Amino acid sequence: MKKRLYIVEDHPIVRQGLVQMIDNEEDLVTCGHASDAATAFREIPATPLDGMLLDLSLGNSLGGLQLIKDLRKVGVTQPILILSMHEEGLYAERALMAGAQGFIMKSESTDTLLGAIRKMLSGQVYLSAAMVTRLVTNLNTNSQGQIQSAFQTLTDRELEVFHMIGKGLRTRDIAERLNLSVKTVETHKEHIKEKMGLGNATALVQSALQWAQAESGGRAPEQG
Amino acid sequence: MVHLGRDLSIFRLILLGILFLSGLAVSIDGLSILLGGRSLVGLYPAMSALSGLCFILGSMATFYLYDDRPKRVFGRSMGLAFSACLTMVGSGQIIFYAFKAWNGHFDEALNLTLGRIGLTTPISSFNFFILGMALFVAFIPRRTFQMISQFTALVVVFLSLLALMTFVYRAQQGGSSIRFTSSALPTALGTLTLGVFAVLSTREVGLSRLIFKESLGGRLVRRLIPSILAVQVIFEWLRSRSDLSQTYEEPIGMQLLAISNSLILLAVITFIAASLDQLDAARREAHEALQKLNGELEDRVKQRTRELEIANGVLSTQFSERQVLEHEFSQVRERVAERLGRIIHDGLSQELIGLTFNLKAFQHRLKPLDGGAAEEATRLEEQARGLVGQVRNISRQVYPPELGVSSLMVSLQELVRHHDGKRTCRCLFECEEPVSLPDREMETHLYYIAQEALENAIRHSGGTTVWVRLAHDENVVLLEVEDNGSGDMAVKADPGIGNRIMHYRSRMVGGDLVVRRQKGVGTKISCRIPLPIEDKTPLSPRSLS
Repeated sequence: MKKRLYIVEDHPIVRQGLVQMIDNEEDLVTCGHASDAATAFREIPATPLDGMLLDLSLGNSLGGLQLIKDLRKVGVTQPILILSMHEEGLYAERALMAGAQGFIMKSESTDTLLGAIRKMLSGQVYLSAAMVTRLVTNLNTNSQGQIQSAFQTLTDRELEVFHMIGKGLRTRDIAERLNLSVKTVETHKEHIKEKMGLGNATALVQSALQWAQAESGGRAPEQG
Repeated sequence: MVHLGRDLSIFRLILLGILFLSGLAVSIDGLSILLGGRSLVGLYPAMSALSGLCFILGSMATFYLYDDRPKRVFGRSMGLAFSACLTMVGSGQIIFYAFKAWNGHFDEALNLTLGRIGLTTPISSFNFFILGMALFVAFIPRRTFQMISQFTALVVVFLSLLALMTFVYRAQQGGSSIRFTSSALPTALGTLTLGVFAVLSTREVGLSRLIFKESLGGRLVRRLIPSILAVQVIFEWLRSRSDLSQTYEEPIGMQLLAISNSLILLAVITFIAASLDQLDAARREAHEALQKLNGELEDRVKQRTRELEIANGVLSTQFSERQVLEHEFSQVRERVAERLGRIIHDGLSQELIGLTFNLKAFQHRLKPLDGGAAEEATRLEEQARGLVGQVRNISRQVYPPELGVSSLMVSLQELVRHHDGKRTCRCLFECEEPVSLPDREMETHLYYIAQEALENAIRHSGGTTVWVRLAHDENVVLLEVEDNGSGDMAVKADPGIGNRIMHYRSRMVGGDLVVRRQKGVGTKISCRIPLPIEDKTPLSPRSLS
């Protein structure tokens, strides 16, 4: 039986091409498509499907990320693969955090894309080799394997410090706001790095920043 | 204007020459008499041979005293030798007289002197002695010695004048107890000349200094001293002539002299006052003219300043307008680049991607057919895929996709990641504290500075690693791009446009860009941008959790 895919893509030619390509595959079939998040959100819960292919940017915003969150909220559990024109380095982690099972750039070859779709449908996570290396490097020796789970090991104070770093505050400001000494904040930062397996201060700052952006939806590109 | 130095130099040569030749003649004459002959010259048959010798020595010493030419050391030694000889001859005679006086033979000695042959008179001997001293000391280039020399030479002048006056006034009186030789007059004139030369030679100190000075004082001294001396000599001579001819009694003569002297003094004072007044008037006139000129100059300066201020104002306005325009132009340029980049990235690229999908589907449909149509479709898809890559690169060049999407930190991280490994160069991004910038424009400029510096380092430095660092310190954002390359390759390779653009971008956001190149160590580009005072609105910890 062919696996059913729902496609959310705002660019008509890409959408039409995707549908054409997928429908021509022996094991895949499209079960619907939408050009905007609202239609997709309305149709997807009511459509029997095995997986979804989502463009990250819908209209003028990063609608894709919000759509994932919304779908997960209403109980849609089928895997989602994010398809984007954007650099995976910028959004892959955020897409995964929002609840997607993979991220692929549109510039990848069609065979790679089809491979990624099949991997996602089989319940695995798809990321490019480069992205996997990068995530692994960032996570370093984290025994938990995921940032999400690493969060659970952070104490309340450490979490607070992590939040503040993500908000763009410097050590001195954090110390001031939490009524702590700079040295204590430094110690907290060391613990966070250890627990989350972040190699250095730069990695900690970047991780906190990305986390904060994922939380808030980030600064959106205007189109794409 | 009299060039005293130059005129004196010619004059002294002539005078010294005459002195020298007369000295020589007299010496030979004296010598011939001494040897039992008779006077050859007949000028001053009684004048002593020693007097002549003294004049030769004195004039030679004076000649060297005035000799300023480079062989000064030689001249000095010669001068010192001559003046030393003069001193010795003088002192020898004094000792001779003293010895005779001690033994009660002074008269005998004096007779010997006043005879046809013999020595000079005691007063001349003393005069030669101190003249020798004055000339000797004059060769020592120290202020104190110069002063001593001048003083001593003045004593010589005084004694010579005394001898001269005494001779002039008394010699003819006959009744005088003082006896003179016929050489007394030339001797007195000779020592007077040498004494004056000695005084004038010490021109750095005392009276001489004043005489040679091109000032009012100098002029007065030069004018008055000779005239006063001349007037005194003439008056005294007239008085003595009158005395001799017994025109009137001596007390009346003295009275007349005193009154004449007072009148002359009055005349001199009037003359001095008149010339001072004249000079003062000229000075005041010059001062007024100068003040007038100053006033005019000041007016012109003021006028020019006003003109410059106006011009400067115009320029400032134009400059600030230009800055505003430049700023707007830069923004427009960035916006155009962004729009163009987006059109390529979101439009053209996507269309091409859609085309590859369609070609893939087409390829599937062609598979059942023979004739290689499916393979042709695969080839077309690959071509389209290649185009996607090229278009992506173009879009990246026009407007980097990471720019403006996230914070500068993330953009820079992506930039560094994108370049990492190019030309086997490791690119690292370091940012230990979150950095937030107040506006997008600043981020864009900093991003492009980092991009330019990074690409330069990869292409030209020859290094193995490039570090891009972003830091935030006390309201200053610091961006650094450092490589471990040769440190001077960049200079050769970069024609300067890239560098200039980096500086320009830095200026556009009020920053300061410094490039440090160290041979064998690498290149470091630092850009510091001051930020507006931080907004310290406290975050509620509750809102964060």
